Parts: sequence; structure tokens; C-alpha cells
Amino acid sequence: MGTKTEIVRNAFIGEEMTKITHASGLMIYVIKKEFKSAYAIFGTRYGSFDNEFVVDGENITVPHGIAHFLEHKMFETEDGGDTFEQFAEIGADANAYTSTDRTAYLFSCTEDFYKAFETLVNMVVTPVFTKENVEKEQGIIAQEIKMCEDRPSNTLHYNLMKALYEKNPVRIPIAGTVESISEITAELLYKCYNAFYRMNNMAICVCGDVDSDKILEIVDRYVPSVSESEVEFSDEADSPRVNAALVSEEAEVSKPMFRIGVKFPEGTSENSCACEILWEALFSSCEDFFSDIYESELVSGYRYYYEYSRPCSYFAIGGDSDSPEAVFKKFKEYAAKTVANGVSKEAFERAKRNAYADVIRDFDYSEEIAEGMFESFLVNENYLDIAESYQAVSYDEVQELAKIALSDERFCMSVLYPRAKSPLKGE
Amino acid sequence: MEIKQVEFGGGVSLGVINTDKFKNNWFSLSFALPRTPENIANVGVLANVLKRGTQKHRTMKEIERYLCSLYDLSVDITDVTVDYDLIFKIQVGFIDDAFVPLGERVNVFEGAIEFVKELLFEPLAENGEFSKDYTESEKKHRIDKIKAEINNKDVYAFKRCNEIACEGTPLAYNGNGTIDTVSAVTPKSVYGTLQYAVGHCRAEAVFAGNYTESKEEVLKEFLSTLAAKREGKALSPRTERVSLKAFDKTKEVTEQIDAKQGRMVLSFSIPKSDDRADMSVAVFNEIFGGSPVSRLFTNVRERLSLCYYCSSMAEKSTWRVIVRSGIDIENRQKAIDEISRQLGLLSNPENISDEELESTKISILSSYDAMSDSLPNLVSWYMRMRWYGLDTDIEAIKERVRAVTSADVADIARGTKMQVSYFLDGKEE
Repeated sequence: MGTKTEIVRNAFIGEEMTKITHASGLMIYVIKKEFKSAYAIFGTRYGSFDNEFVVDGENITVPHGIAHFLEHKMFETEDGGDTFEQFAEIGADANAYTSTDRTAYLFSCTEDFYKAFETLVNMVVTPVFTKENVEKEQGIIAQEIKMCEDRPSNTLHYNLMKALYEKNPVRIPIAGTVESISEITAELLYKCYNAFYRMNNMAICVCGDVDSDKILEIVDRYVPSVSESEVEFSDEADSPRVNAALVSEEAEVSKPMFRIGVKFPEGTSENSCACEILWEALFSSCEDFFSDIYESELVSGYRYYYEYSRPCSYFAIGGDSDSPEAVFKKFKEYAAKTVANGVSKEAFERAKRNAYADVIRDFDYSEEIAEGMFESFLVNENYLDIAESYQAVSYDEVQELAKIALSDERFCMSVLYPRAKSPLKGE
Repeated sequence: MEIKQVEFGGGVSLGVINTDKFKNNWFSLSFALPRTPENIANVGVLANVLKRGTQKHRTMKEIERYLCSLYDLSVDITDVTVDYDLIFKIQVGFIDDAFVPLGERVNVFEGAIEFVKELLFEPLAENGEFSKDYTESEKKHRIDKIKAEINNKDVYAFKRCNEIACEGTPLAYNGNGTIDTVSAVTPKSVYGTLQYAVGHCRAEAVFAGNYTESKEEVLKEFLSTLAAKREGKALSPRTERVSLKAFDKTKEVTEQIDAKQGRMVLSFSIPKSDDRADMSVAVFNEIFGGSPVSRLFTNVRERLSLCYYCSSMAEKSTWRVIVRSGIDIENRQKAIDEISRQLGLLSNPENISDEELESTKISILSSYDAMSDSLPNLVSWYMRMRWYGLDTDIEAIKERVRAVTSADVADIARGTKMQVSYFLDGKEE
């Protein structure tokens, strides 16, 4: 299979994307914008969720936190140096992140884009893992883990995952634990790299004043036109029933913090826009639920979201409250009323309008565009169709989703309660 | 990028950044109030009371639905500290009319400015005061916010160090207020603060986006109305800049908290310059601790593996550099020793290679270039520069960056002295 290039257009939002399927299976997406800075991502469909997998018939289990550990080590060069320095020499600002279903290496720059891009590609295709560099990193990441463990919002989130799921690895922090990362070796890092950093499992996404032909030229220099066998991802169906109705603990917080979750294993890339619109129509600040809990002073720091990715699909609302139980009760009452009476048509129209505005807002930022293209790659969608995808959501579809999602067995809550005494000793 | 400045009299100014490169436009209006504990408390409550209702949209729900009708008009009402002043700010972001779907008769920009006028000129108030219920409710939310500061240990440690280092100056006051000052706020005092801002405080407006004739007309009408409200009135003075107290010996403060990791914040004084536009401080800070290739990152984190982060930021209004790190107490002294060692090395220009200096400058120049790709960042930057009274000519600023030498950087390092060493010791029970 040779390299294939196609141009994808969306006349209404006035955008055009070059989509290249490289002979290796690597996907390359480019949106040209007359910005001074360009943003590039080189990412893989591999995250903290993937700690059990099959390679050449062999079942492999790796320690938690290894995807994130691998991400840290990718910046190391053969001579023990740091690729950050190479980016810095040309004024490029580089970074990387790992989440449950992906790892991304990225940079932004205003000059020498192709030099920085070549640095990025070379870095990602040339891993260097040694016993020494692994041991050094364990100390640094242990500090990162401790820093994250001190964040109440982190604890709240992972407790929600434990409430939603019995076994799903999303229950474990992305960086792992101090114990789990102590088991990571260079050999295991190479195993994971070889399993998931295959070009047919990866994508490059670029937004800026760039030439896609030049981008392809650089990719051709570093990526052989050889396709490998595809990564196999298991797709285990999950029950809609939550693991636990409530997970709570005490923490250094001034007031109880809560997250209510609604498990939705029926989430797919096809219905994700409809799910977002459903949640917006029910829980945005325009709607009755929010005005009730805010004006009755039940909640502050309110948030609501729908999370869809390969590992998991769920809805959530959260905030701070002196009485999370009262919020949960109101939530259940509101859910029952919605199932009985349906989603309001006006709320549905408001939600669609807001979704459309969000899409238009994102198209002003090269980082949002590049991340959007990467997100679309992960769910096998066309990024430029996103505005129309939201417009195409029907009222009937949202009604149906509400009836499925809003049932008691799917509801759970994570709460952090303040410790009995003041968090500052001596006060 | 050309920025056009328009004066309306009465201390009202407008900066216009005209570009048709984007699908969204931004407008910001900010007022400078003296930074006093009472103003901090009242402005903090005001920002949220305004969102509870106006004369035309009398509940939060009505406001939110109105904003939705304007394609999710983004309205941010907040307060920030710029230099020594308390800045009360309203910022709106909205899609350009060109992207309103066909057939929809919505003039988003006019609607946005009408809403800002409602907030300032027609808030939900009677007889010189806001609603008692809304005021008490937002006071409670604000007090919760103050109590919740301890939830984020990084920010809490930074604030504590700041309070100690800036003691005796307006910058020592907590930006959220205190429980006592917020409790003392009344519906009348909040309304009085709004009237004071509208009637007496210098106002800086910024528009960024597709500046058409019709938008110009709408803005001119609005800002002329605002200027007219101050006619014949004395403008509020700016907050007086007060030098920080200099400690002969580093002031060390340790507090304890139940946490897995300690937080260290070091406040250093740096040599003052008569030229506030001098960019040597920015270059020094970037080399010292401002990037993943800085001295602090590559040594304290990468070489010595003492922490996950160790970075610095420069604060020109107080002539300080502040270092922050998440670190266990047993590594505290090792980290301080290394930080001091790196400062010592930077004090000699021979220890700063041409490559390091040039790549640092490129990084800073790049960040200025990248700013024009984000209208909210540009609006925010421009507003801050106007309040600082500094040059907004980006090309001139870039020239100043290019002119910085290793000797300039070394001079700053040599004159840098640790004033406060604050440690929030994390000890699990």
C-alpha cells in the first residue's frame, strides 16, 4: 500500500484539512492556518489503560504507570542528553502527556518549524531505555505521584472511577504508584514501545502555516514504508451496573467535595455528540437543576461533563457542598423527572447552540485544532465534520439516551469529607 | 500588529486590535481601584452578585439563557492584581457575526455590549443597594473560597510566602479577601464599589477581532456614555507603590500540614532598575528557572532527582524572583544549596554560554510572536501593559530582549538575595 493523500473540506466553517495515509499506516493530518506559531503532535493510541495486552500470541501484563514512565523516557537521547535542549535551541516549546487511552508528544514554535518537527519525529521513533536512566526517573516520578496524591480533585476523581468500575484500569492513577513504578525495567519499556508505538497505531497532527508536502518528506526520512501487524485492542462489554454506590474518605479539604457519576457503557463515537448534548441540556448553568442547587446554596464550584474514550464512558457532575447526600438526592429526583417527562425541547436547542459555539471557538487555536484532529483519529472520525455532527443530533435521539442513561443502577458518588481538625497543625 | 488607541476623556481609553484572522472576537473592560482589604472584599463579592441578575434579566437563569441565545457568549467578571492596583475586569468572548448560522437574526456583538451595559449601568439594585439575599449568598461562596485555599497546597504555599515577603504593603493582602473583611461586606457597600468603579476609576477597554464600522459605532456610544458619567468628577488615585521591606537575614518560616509532599517557596529580591521596560529580568528568569532547560530544572530535578518541579517566576512590580518546588523536607537544604550554587554560577557571565543566551532569547521572542495567535492572551497582555504604564509596541520590546547581554544577566544574579524561605512541610499522620 503506498502513501495516499486526500483533501477534506468544510465550506461552512471555512476549513480544509490534508489527510495523509502513510505507507506504514501512520496517519498525518494537517490544517494550514496563517498563525505565527505552529503546533504539532505525534501521538499513539496507548495509555495507562493498556497494562494487559497480547503480542505475537503472548499475554503480557506490565506494571501500572508504565505508559507514563515511557513518555518521560522518550526525551532521553543516546548520549544521555535531553531532547528538550534540542527543541530549546530553536526556540520550540516541547511537552508530552499520557492519559488513559493516549500518549502524545508535542511542540509549538514560531520559527524553524521543520527543524523542530524533524526533532520530534526522530525522538519518537528512537527510544533509548537503559537501566540507569530508568532508575533515575523512578525518583522523579515518585515525586510527581506524591504531588498528585496531594490534590484532592485527583483523589475525588479516582474514587469515582472505583465507584463506577470494579476492575477497569482507569481506577489506577495514570502515573501508577510508587510501588508499581519500582517494578519497571528497560526491558518492559521496550516491550510496550514495540507493542504500541507501531505506525499504524499512531498519528501526526499539525496546525499552522506549514506545507504538508514538506511534513511528508520528513516523515519519509524517518518512518519506513513498511506496515506492521495491527495492535489488537480487546473490547470487553461492561455492565451498566456501578461497582459501588458510594466511595468516600477524609482528606485535607475545607468542605466536602463530591462527584456524581453515571455509568454509560453504551457510549460510542457515533453517539458521543448526542451524549454531550444530553448532559448540556440537563446540567448546564442555563437549566433548572443548576439554578436550584446554586440558589439554594447547596453547591459551589460546580462542573458537569461527559467523558468518552476507549477505556470508559460516563457522565458526571461535581462541586463542593456541605451536604453531598442532599445533592445526590436532588440529582436522582431530577433524573426520574426527566425520564418521566422527557428532556425539554428548549433545553435541547440551547445545548445544540452551545455545542456549535464551542466548535467555532476551538477553531481559533492551533493547539485546540491539533488536539481535535488527534481526538478524531482516536475515535475514527473526521475532525472537520464535528460541527455538522452536533447539528445532526436529533431530539428523539437525546430522549432515548436519557431513558437509558438515567436509571438508578448506573448512579454512584465519590465524596471527600474534611478531616475533623484543622488541616494546618498548630491552629 | 498595530494597536490603535482611542481616548474618550474621563479616564476612559480603548485599544483596538483589528484582525479578521479569527472566528471569535474579544472585548475587555477593566477598572483600577486602590488595593485595600475593603475593596478586595467588595470587588470579590460584586463580581458574583452581578451575575445573579440585572434589571432586564432578573435571575441567573435568565442571564445564562440570554448568553446562550448569543451563541454561548462567554462573560468573565473577575478581579486581578496588576502592579499594585486591584483591577476589576469584565471580559467577553463571542463568535463573529459571519459564523452565525444562516437564517438566524442575531447581532452577537451588539447583544454582548448591551449586556455589559446592563451589568454596569442597570444592575439588579434598588435604593442604592443590591439584593440582600444575593449579597449574603455570594459572601458565603467567597468565604468558602477563602477556606478552600488550603485544598491546593501549591497555591497556598505561594500565597503564604507572598504575605511574608510583602508584609506591610498592599500586595500582602490575600487576593480573595479574609473571612472578616468579606463578612463585613453589605449590599450597600457592594453597590457603592460598583458606582465608585464606574464613576471614578480609570478604565481601560480593549477590543480584539474583526473591527467593523458598525462595531466601532456601538463601542464608541458605550464608552462615551461611560466617560460622561465621570464628567466633573475626580478620578481615583492609583495605589501607591511601596518598596518591600529588606530583611538582613533570610526569614525562614515552616508550617506543617498533613500531606504526602512538602512545598517550598523562596522569595528573592533582585536589583531594581530605573527602566521598568528593561528585559534583562525576563532573560535572567528564563535561564535561571523559567523553562525545561533552565538551571533549576536541569539540575535540581534532572541531575539531582530531588523533585518533580523546581521553577522560577519574575515579578517586576516588586522586583522579585520566586522559586517554587514540591519537595520532601529531607531534600529541602540540598535543593536550597543547589539553587544558591546555580545563582552563584550565573553571577559570572563566563558561565553563560552564547548558545544558552541566544536560545533563551529565541524562546522569549517566540512567546511574543505566539501571543498574536490568541486574542484572549493578547487582550490580557495589552490590558496589563496599559496598567503597568509600559510600552505596548511588541517590536520595540523584542529589540530590548535582543539587546540583553550575559553581563546584564550576571549583574542581576549577583544582586539577587534570598529574603524569605517558606516551607509547607507535608507529614502524613
